Amino acid sequence: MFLIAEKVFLLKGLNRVPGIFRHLYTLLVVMVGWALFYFEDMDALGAFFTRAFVYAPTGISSTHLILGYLPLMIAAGAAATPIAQWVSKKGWARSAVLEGLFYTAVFLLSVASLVSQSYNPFIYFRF
Amino acid sequence: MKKRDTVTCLLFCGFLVGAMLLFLLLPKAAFSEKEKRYLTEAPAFSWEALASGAFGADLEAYLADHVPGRDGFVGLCAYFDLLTGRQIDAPVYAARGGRLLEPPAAWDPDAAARNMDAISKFASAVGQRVDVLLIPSAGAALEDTICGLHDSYDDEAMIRDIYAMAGDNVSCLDVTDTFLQSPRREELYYRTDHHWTSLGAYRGYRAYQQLRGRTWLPEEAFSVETVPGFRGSTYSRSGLWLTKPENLELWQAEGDFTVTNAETEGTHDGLFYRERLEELDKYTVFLDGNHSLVRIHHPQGQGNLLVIRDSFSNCLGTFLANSYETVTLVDLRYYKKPVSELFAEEAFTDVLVCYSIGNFLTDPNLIWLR
Repeated sequence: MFLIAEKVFLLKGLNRVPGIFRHLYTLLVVMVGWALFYFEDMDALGAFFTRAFVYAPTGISSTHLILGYLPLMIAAGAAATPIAQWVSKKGWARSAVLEGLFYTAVFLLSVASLVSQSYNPFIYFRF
Repeated sequence: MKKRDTVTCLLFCGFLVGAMLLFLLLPKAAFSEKEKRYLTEAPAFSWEALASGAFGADLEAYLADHVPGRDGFVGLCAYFDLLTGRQIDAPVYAARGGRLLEPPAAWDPDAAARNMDAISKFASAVGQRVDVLLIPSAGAALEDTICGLHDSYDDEAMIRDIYAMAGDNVSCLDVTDTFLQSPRREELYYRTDHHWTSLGAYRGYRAYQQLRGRTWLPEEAFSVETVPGFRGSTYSRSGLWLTKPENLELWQAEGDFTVTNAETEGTHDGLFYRERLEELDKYTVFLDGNHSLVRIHHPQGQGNLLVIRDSFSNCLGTFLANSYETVTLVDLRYYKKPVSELFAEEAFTDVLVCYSIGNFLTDPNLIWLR
């Protein structure tokens, strides 16, 4: 849908605005697109977009949640830009051994994160 | 391709092939003791299941439950999350001194009102005074020891608000102050489990006997047997496998005790089920863990007590038994008959509703109290 819109008219407009706006446009479309694929229930989708775009005060625990994930978000944000390449050249990419160890660690942590999701302990055994 | 890229590629493929071979070769566990559940079994293939997508979903669940080194990966993820500040989203908070705490219970005014109302109605229906004891959580007592970001505990206010809803024939026992301010509060709760310790349960027992104007056994009347190597529910949930085990105490006083429960044939001599100490979750040593109905007979005691309860009373029951001739413990999560029918069979002198604050706010079964 967005592809057609871009071919027909959007592209002309996009080519004329600075790169930062093109970036923002892409991210907005990608995020909305992911949400469309994630939700199978239209009500839940509606509720999600309402929360995403309409201001609503939240409790302290949401602030905690954002703070808790901040280090990961900063790392992920940096990894999506050329900063990552610069850091890798100065860091692990200097030696083959270091690079191997780094990728192994990242890979194992990713696997661990996926495997953990199936870990589902109960407090009591149900009889 | 650079030589270095070839090595990276080989490493990656090696992991995939290695994990697959290990999965195929390693024996599959049927039961996970830490999770207290049966792991998914290999799905049987059929064309219908494949077409409906059920086969794929089942296969995925089966693979996820039997990943080689699953516990190790769970632990790795738990420690990585903790060290990178994501404890806030973890199922269990890590606190100083190797302590693992449940996050705070969420306040639910509807559930509180509904459950207190059920208790008040029950009290007028049976025409007898009913006592209520809500136990504050370990996190509320030890909030200051939690490492890093955490949501705050409000047990004191929640218990006070719930007690304010009590009906005429209901009397409430508030142990919040004595528990949360106690200089020994670290000893009142386990480090690796969400329950109160034997000392905590003893304090609860003493407070209840004081409320009823009855005598209680002093601490010195008990001989304490220490069992090492206990790792409880918060340990299993946390994934922080390096947490040290702790001691569990069996407090035993003079007297004869026989225990029966609705799920097991025959009677059991003594309050402690020592064979349960061989298991990972040793808390079931107290009255054999959760049962719908448990009766403890103690000929030297006086009075007949009914306790409507959650698992905290497995341990509390072993203390109450010292003072009463009969203690009947009913767990509404499993007991599905009207409790008032028990009154026809037995003349209860005391009736106690004892819940941990978390369970009181989340258990949907209290409305069946009638």
